[in-house]
Amino acid sequence: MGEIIRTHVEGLDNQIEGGIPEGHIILLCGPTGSMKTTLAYSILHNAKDMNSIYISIEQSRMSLTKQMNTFGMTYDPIRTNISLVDTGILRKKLGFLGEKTLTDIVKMFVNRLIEETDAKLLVIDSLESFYTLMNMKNPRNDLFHFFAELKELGLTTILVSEMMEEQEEFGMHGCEDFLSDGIIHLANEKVGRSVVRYLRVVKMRAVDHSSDYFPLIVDDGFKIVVK
Amino acid sequence: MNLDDVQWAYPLMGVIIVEVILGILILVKNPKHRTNQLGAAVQFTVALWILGDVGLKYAADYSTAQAWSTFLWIGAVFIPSTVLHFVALFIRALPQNKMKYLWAIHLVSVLLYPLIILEQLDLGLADAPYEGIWATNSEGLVYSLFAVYLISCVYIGLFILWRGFVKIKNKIERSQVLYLAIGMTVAGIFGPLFSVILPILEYDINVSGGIFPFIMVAFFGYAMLKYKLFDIEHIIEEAKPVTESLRLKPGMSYIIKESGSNNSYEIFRGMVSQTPGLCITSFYPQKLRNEYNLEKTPIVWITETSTDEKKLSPHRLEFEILYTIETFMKDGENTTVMIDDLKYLSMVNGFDKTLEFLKSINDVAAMNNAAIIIPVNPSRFEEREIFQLKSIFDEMIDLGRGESKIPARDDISSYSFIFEEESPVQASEILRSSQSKKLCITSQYPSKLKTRFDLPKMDMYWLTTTRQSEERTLQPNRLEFEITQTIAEFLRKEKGLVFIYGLETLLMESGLPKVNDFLKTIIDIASVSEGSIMASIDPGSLKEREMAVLESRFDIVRRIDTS
Repeated sequence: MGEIIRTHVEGLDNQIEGGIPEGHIILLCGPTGSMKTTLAYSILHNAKDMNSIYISIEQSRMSLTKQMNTFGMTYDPIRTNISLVDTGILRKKLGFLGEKTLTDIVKMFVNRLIEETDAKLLVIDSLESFYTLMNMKNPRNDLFHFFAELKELGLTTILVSEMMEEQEEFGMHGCEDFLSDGIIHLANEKVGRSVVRYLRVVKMRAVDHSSDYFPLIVDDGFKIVVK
Repeated sequence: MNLDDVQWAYPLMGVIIVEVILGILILVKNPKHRTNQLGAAVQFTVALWILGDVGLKYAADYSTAQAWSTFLWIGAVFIPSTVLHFVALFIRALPQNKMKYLWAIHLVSVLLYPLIILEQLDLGLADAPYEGIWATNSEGLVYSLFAVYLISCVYIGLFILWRGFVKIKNKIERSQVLYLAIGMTVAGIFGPLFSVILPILEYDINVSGGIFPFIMVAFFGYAMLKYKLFDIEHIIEEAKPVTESLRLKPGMSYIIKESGSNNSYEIFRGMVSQTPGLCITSFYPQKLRNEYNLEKTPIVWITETSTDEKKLSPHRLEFEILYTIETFMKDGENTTVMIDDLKYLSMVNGFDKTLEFLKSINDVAAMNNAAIIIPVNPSRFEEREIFQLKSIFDEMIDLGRGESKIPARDDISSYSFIFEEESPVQASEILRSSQSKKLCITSQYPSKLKTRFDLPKMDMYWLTTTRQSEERTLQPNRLEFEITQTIAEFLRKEKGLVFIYGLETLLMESGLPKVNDFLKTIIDIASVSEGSIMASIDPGSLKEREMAVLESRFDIVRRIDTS
């Protein structure tokens, strides 16, 4: 067995035999406001002993670091273990490279970062906005290759995926769920005038886990309530 | 030697190892159970056959080939009878007391073995010693008999399986039977085709017939190992019951109307000194064992708390719970099953589903002469529901108001109490006298509560939506979140006492089912970690049925009349 990436969500690591197995591609999905971005970022932030790459397509680098600061995850551009890439940076590169597709650019970019920093973790936030840049002709086919290329990079990858409130499938094209090695689902539920959150490990290959929804507490860090 | 043969030999060796491991796993899971023994035997016979086959391929001379061949045929000849026996046993094709006649099937195999060995050695091996399973001579008369025997056993087995599949209602058993049937269908179609029919028609096809039985037994192994089921022993209590209780007729199903479940447990205790019993309960088994002197009777705890006890999740009503009860009834004779806390099961699963569940076990009980005891507190159910329950069961016994389930003790550790009083007078007395560490969750302003009732020093949390307060606060709508977490963390750290004052507020925010679930969770955690839960509630603030449901969660209920 390879290494294990701890999620640092209190209670969750015990439920999935210590953490996410190295090299897995994880779909982290949930509706708006279910804390997907914060959770994905906090996994990188807490994995202090390894370098990582965060590709943010919707949010600019500034707004993201500002948001994370409010959760006590201060972004220190010098000492950080996270290489934060936003669309601004990607666009600049896009202009340069003319004919190349976005996946090529991301791959080059990520490959360079892997070489420079020996990164072990990758987050793409979000998968849906990444699709709009990818300009796919045959989504199922293109996605298959996209996942295969991700796998080739050998990183543990977290794909943040937006879901509609009532949506049942994980992923836009109905094939992301079986292409990925694991799915973590964050759900919101309205109780009276407030909203409560739940977390469920839908799937995690090669790991024995419970498939229940666990109440999720967000305080200083994440916590699930295990009975 | 053919090159293909060598390529086949290695995967076949792997297959043998897999089968032996599967056989051992099946056996270890429940060594005393006949079905597991036969299930393992099926794996071993197929492994033996393939082992003989591989050995034969590598045999250097005639005498080694002879030895391997005798080996091969032990496996091959006993596969049909073992598979048929296993399937018939699994599906319970015969009544319990007639199952022993199934052993007769093996007589055919015993008779066939020497004949086929003689024929094979005489005809086949001399000509083609190194050809493995392809060396089997398909011309002999006994071989044809064997082929007929094998095919008919597989098809009889398939018939029994599919017929059983239609009849079985239990979801776990259904999916197990489905896997068995799929495995057998694959083997039943391709096995005879490749190892019997094609050789007879003299087509030379280089596929080991051992592969198909392997696919079959792999399905068998998966079916038997997939569910994390525990085995439940049929044991009769040796010690006589302490109290003389009502005698019920064996093989009948009873609803016992009483306010707690004390009398029902006494009745159950009386029954299990004569028949094997099983108790399914939402209360902490260790307490019940002590209280009712149940030394050996298996008790399954309905809980989601992590524990060493045998436990099942309340959500798995039509799955593991139903399966456990039904198998227990089918595997033993004249058993007694007690199901405590119908209200909890029906709050989790809905009354209709629970009723269906009861119908199902009642049918199985009737067919297997098992008795069922179910305590029901009428004040917790609607009148219509009581009538529906009554219509399913043989008899309803009204015991009226009993005492609370477990008598009060001086030592309060690992007990749960509820005081029904206008203000927490009794509860604060206990808080003052108790030596253990305390945690208080209150809907009243903590320092006020402290001065009013002269409470000792303890950790206090205020249930409020106000965020600006010097006191530590918990949001009342965060029942299964921070509130559960805070209490669970406290209990896991020490054997402390948790006092909850403000169940009314929690009920208003989250409703009865969630509060009931919350109480069940924290009381279960308290039982396991030897802590205690105490609540105080004003009886006037709730409807009678709500009160009755809340009461049912606690070991001790005290109504204090101040008027």
